[in-house]
Amino acid sequence: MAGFLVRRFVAIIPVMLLVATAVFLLLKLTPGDPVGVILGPDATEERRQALRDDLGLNDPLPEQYLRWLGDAVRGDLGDSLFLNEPVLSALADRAEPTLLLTLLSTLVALSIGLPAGIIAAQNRGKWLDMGTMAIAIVGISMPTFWLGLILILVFSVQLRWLPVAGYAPLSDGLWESLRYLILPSVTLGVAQAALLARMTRSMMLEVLGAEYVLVARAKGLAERRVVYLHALKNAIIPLINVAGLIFAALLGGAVVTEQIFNIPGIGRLLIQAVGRRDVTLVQGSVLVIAAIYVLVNLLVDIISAGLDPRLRKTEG
Amino acid sequence: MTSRKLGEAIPMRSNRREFTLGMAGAAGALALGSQPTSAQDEVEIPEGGTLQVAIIGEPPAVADAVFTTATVTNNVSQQIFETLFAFDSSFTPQPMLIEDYEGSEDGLEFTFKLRTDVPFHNGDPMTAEDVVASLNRWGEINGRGKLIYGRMDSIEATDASTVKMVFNQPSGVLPSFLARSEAMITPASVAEAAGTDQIPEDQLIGTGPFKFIEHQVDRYLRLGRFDDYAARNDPPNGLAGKRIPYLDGIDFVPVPDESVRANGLITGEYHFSDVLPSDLHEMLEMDPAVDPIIVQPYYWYSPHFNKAQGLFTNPALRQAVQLCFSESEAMLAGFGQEEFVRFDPSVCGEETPWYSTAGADVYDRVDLEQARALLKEGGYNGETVRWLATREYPYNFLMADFTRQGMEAIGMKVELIVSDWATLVQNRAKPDAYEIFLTGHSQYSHPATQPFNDPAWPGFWESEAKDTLVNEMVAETDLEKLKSIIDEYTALIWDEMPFVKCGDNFVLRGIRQEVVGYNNMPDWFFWNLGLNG
Repeated sequence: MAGFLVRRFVAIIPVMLLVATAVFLLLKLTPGDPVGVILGPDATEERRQALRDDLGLNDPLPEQYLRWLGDAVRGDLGDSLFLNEPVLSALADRAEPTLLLTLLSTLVALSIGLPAGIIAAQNRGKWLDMGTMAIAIVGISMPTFWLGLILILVFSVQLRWLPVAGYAPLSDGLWESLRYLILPSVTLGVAQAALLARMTRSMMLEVLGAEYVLVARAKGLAERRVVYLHALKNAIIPLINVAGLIFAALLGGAVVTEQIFNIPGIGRLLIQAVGRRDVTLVQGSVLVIAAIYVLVNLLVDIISAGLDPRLRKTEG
Repeated sequence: MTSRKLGEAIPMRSNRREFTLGMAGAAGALALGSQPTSAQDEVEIPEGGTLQVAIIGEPPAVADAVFTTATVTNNVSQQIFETLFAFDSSFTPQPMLIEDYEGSEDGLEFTFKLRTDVPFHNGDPMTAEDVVASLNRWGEINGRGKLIYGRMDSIEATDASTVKMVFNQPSGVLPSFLARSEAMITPASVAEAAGTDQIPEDQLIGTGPFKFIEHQVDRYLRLGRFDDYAARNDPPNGLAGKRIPYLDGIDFVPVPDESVRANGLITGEYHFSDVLPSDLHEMLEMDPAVDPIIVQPYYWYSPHFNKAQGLFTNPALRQAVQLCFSESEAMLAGFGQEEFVRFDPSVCGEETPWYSTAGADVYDRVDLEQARALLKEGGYNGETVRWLATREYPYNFLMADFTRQGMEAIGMKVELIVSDWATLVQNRAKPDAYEIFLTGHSQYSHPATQPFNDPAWPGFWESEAKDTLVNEMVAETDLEKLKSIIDEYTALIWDEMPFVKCGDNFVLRGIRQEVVGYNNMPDWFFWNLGLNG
């Protein structure tokens, strides 16, 4: 297990370096002027030039790259050009809403997707299966922004049950915070639930056809025991992988939802940073999101390896 | 909440619905709500409560209006900081932090007598030294400040409450410049420590009715009432006169998505919302809890030609473009509804003292024959006109696309280069990157303060005649004489055609019924205003 872990950790380094370089180059090749946004429409050209000099935006590209990479390796992602604060502290300030939103959405996805997939598999070919999968297709195909807007229209504007947008931190109380997160979590969770339901269904079908399930049934075990104890336990490993990916995707991919619901999370920070050409902030955010992605993947691998000894040998 | 009567006139009508509909009406109701009204319009202003204000985004540099020229920052800043002058409802500068001032007739000397009872938020009294240090910072980094400092021989605090400025050229425009929020007064220590950098949050110390409390980026910028605020005694008029902070505080909430701002206003999460989509006007009007507000004057829009390089260095080709499309139709193409646009050749709104009707004979004239003749005369040879446009602001693309059709009708080739706004701003500064871009300018700014007067500003308008007139506008102390210079300046614009002024656009904002005392000026402010219930 130790060797497995070390190999997995070392493999992270080239991935992160690649991400860092790609992000840096992409941003430098994209036109756009952060100084124009910071100084406003009436600023003189002279002043814009002076600020570009101050921010180091006029330095040669390789120099900027090496400086940034050197700092990043030491854990310093620089200062946001627009917010005038370190990138890491800007990200840390926004971690809470994004993390909560991700957890709640994953919860929504799991609590709808898993049972739906199992029920569909159990009722293969019957109307319950087809109905569930039809709903899942709709769920996957529905754009999140559209669902978000419909939910806002119904539950916030018409019924006035929940706030339209915004965020209250946990320090304001759990319920206050949840009130703001319910609609966005459902918005995000539903699409992922649909995906999860389809995955669960096919995993379960595969396992339910296996010989040991036949044996379990032949032994005269109750169907519930067969499904939940024997089948699900074996289907769970690929599902953990899917759940991990969903979690990581939500963490970095809540961009649109955070924008619609005006949640001050990492996704919205990133979108605004792109619009403002806040280069250091975009670089830092993407790097951190990539790191989270890689770490969640690693964690999933470790859990899977812990559950299934075969993986430690073959994948290691 | 307790109620208190404000003795002086509050620019407020008794019937809010009427007030709003009146504003939404025609030009006859101009500047309604910003008119100083008489004492019989007394309104009960409730005390207390926190106003939730949805703003269009996180203000750059928080509230430092010297550091950035962004409108949202300027508006936030004027709740915290004050200036030596403030604009009244007809955009005339009136004393704010000064008791009185004397300007020599030749426009070369100004002596400002400061009010002596004005404390900063940190408790220190405002002195002449603070004013000199603040203006020095403004003169060092702000465009208009630089212009003033370039003509100035000296600025000094002659005693604790007197500031004297001596110029080497007449500078009658000074009060108008000093009334802008960027000429804000801070303690000398703050101005000196910040220099060309932005003022740190814990140093946002002004003399205004509200003080800085807390800033949570992307969540809110919180201001609280300044209990020791020293109000003037003259009646409120626009931004000038007596200011009373009735609210306990203001939360500025950055809400970049305009539909979220609208929904939040309707559901009562925000009491006030800046810029709303104009097509929501009717819907807001039908909602009994909300009043739509049409802000006029606001901005005017024009395609700017690149005059440094390429085709449009030739004035004949610029005139050809002006003749090939209808400016008023371009405005309608960009902004849709008629109640939000005004067709006018002037670069200043008719609500301001700087309005001019010069250019009316050229404005909105379409003559394709003459346009084609001018193209020929100008030696146009089928070259492609690169037009920088963005869909980030829908009007920007729509107006460009409309004008393109006119240009193609006279045989020009036009390529719309569509990008996001940040890219456009970068590209328009490069003379070799384009022929035309479109942008907006304030209708309520002194014409000498427009950025395009600077030949380094994108579009690159170099003109001796323009420089002379701008210099005269800056120098002039007499309003009547100033008006005739502005007429000449406006006529010059329609003659040299550095850009084609298409028309004025008004912006839609919204306010909840429970807000009492809102005054509809282009730059919003929240003193002399309270919350019911």
